[in-house]
Amino acid sequence: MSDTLLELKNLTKSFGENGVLKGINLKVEQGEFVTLLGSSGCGKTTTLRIIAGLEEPDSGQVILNQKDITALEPNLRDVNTVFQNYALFPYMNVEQNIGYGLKIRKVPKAEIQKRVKEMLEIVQLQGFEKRKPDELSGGQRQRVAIARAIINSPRVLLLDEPLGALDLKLRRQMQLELKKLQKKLGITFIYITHDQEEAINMSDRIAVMRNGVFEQIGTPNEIYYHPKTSYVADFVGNANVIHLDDKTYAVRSENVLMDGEAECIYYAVVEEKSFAGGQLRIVFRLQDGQLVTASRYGIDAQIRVGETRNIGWHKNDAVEVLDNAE
Amino acid sequence: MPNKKKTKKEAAAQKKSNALLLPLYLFTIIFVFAPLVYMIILSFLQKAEIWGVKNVFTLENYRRILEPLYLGTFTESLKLAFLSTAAIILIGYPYGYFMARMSERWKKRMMMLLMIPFWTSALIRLNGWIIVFRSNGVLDKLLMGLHLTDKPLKLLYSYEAVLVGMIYALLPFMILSVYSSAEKMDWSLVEAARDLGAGRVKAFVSVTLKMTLPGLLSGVILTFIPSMGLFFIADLLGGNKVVLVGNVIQEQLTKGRNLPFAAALSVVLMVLTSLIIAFYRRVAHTKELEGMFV
Amino acid sequence: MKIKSKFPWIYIGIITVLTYVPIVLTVVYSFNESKITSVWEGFSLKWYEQLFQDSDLAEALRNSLILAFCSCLMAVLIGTTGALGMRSRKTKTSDVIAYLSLLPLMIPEIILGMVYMAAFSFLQLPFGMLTLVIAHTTFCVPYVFTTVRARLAGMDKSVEEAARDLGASDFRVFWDITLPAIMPAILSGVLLSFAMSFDDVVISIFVTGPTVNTLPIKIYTRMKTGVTPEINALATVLLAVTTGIILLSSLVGRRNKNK
Repeated sequence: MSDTLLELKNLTKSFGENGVLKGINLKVEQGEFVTLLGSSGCGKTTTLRIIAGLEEPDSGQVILNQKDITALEPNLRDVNTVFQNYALFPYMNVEQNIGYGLKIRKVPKAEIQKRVKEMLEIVQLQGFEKRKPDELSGGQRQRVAIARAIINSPRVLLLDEPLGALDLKLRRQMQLELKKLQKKLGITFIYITHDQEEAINMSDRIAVMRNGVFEQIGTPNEIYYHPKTSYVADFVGNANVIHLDDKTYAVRSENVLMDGEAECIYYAVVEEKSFAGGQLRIVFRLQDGQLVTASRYGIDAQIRVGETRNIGWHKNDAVEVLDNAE
Repeated sequence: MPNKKKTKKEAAAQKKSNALLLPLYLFTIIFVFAPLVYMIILSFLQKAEIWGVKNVFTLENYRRILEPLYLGTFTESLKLAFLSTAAIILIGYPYGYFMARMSERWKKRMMMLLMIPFWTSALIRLNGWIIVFRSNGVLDKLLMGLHLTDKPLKLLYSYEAVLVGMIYALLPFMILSVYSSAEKMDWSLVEAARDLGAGRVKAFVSVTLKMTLPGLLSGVILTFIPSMGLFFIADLLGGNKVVLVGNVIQEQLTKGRNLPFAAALSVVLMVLTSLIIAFYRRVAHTKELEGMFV
Repeated sequence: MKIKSKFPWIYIGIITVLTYVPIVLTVVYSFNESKITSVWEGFSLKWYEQLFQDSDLAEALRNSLILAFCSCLMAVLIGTTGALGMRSRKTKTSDVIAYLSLLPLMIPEIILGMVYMAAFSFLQLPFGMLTLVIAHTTFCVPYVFTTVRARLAGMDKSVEEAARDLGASDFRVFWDITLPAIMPAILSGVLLSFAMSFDDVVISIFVTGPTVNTLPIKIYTRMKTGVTPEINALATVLLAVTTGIILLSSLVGRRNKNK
């Protein structure tokens, strides 16, 4: 691929006895929005820190724009980071925070002022120039952190759970804004999150990570509809993982049918019924003891705990996956 | 190959931190560790005729400490240290505790009131007590004015005066230690204990005292240890009536010119204080002294 | 919880007043015409006149200031570099050194005095300002070292990483980020060190030479000889200075907060 911007080759890293990365490979194209998705401790932050140069891998290479930058100091890389807790400079005001990278590069003062002003406009923080970080709200700090990073026009912007500390509503709004910003600037984003919704909403491609390896890399569609492993099916699609005839299938709960129209039909007992987030969730127990969850919109009063039902799913909705659950 | 690079980078970081550590390491070894070792060695050597030492091993210095005269000063010092520490706990603990429960505004005011004497030279504060205790001084006048006594009490140069001086000089350390640990305390725990049926006393013992114990203990250390060595308090307020280990050491150095014996006295005193600190660490489960750096 | 009963206020009030009795008396008697403190013979400024003409005390004051300044400077250099160096490393050696460096605060001063007297004569250092500075530095280092180390331990490393990520060199990271963050710790360490050094009698007496007197040594010897109206005046001046500094620093602190 000619327009590969960033390539990770066989990265490994361990802290003491702990193998954190066990050989990961990834190619990222210019302008792409790639998300590393995984639960905490899976190695996603370490990967990001290696790309940023804050950590050195035990083996493997980081190649940016056809140059091996594995051992390059972080201050010499064309990569910037938005840190998880924002890491704003507490003794500097918003303006100084955002202009810091340019000041380091000895950009003339007038030019810095002009660019900071543009940035403040982009992140909608006009009028906040003289505020200190502790006088800003979480969302505002977030914007400063982003502005501070993108003002340097990096080749790659790394974002470590940047929305993790915000409340749900603000998070949704910032997701949209970030995505828009990325389109507008054309900068390559590598984004870390443990929230599968966030990953699906924003990414061009998602790399699902577990125990220091990528389980699956693909578009949100591929990951959601065609999980390769039971872990991905469960983590991304909240799917039922069902073992039948020595094979393992993933069936998402909304595809579990209760009206007998399906092609594969099983007897099942209603174990549990609960209503949450606009959805009714019904847990069935199959005759062999496996649990299957179905979900429906609205409240279906017809179903009672303890009764027996015919449940099933269309053949197309059961995706065969590699069973690697723990 | 990448492994090699890594060690290189790590080595560079190591080199940098080595350079940073060098002054501290050198200074600590040359001017803290070595002199202490030298003191221990000295304590086993013989005194030279006029000044200095002969390089002959002896246990004479330690044997001499066991003489009633010197053993007496040790027990005397310990007694005074215990007494003053006990008094300081009684006065300082409630003070620090109450202070921690004041409003933020009053906390600041009290802190300032505490800081003024704290930052003033101990000597200058003692000077004030001399005015109070001096024969025919302020206290004598006051007591005679109230007809509680008809002649001057000769309070200066007495054991009591030394005790008051010690308490006065070291009280702020206790207050600040207790205050800093009581300040961090979660008062809702006391409320919870009360809510669960504990009486005032029970709630205090089972919650408050337990939570402020580190502060109390560190206050004890910060007062007990110095109180054995502050020879000038005994000197100025006790005249020659009160002789503490500190005074003996000072005398051996200046008048007696007996370096080895002074060293032996110091070693014993140091062992005593180390035992106390070790005890503190055991009980308080902590290394740092609370409130030491306010 | 608010304090409900009156008792704590009364208690704290009484103790605080008692603490101030000797201080107030010192101030009052510094204006006494009489040489004897027990007799009040009317208001006079003569002890202040004497004090300001006392070249002996003036020299002692100068010595004390030089001594405190030099010890603090040394303590800042040694303590801060030490704390920075130990930040990223935790080995047995560094633990032992950290412990050893704190010893001067945990050993009774009298022992330190004796130890340094013995050690300096063994090393044949000339007793005087040099030996004073070395001895005082030993107990000033722990104040700076400990406060800076605590500050560094509580510091968010990612802020420094962010600066590095934005292109700052090692030195720039230190200058722009680390130093401003540890500055309050350095200052409070220096403040404590300065006060302790300026106040010290016990150690100074043993390590000074016959020609160099510090202010506390001078005060001590004068107090030993008895009648001290001039010392009352000196005490009052020093009290005024400390009180002024404390008030000023609290005012500055308040203004900074309001900003």
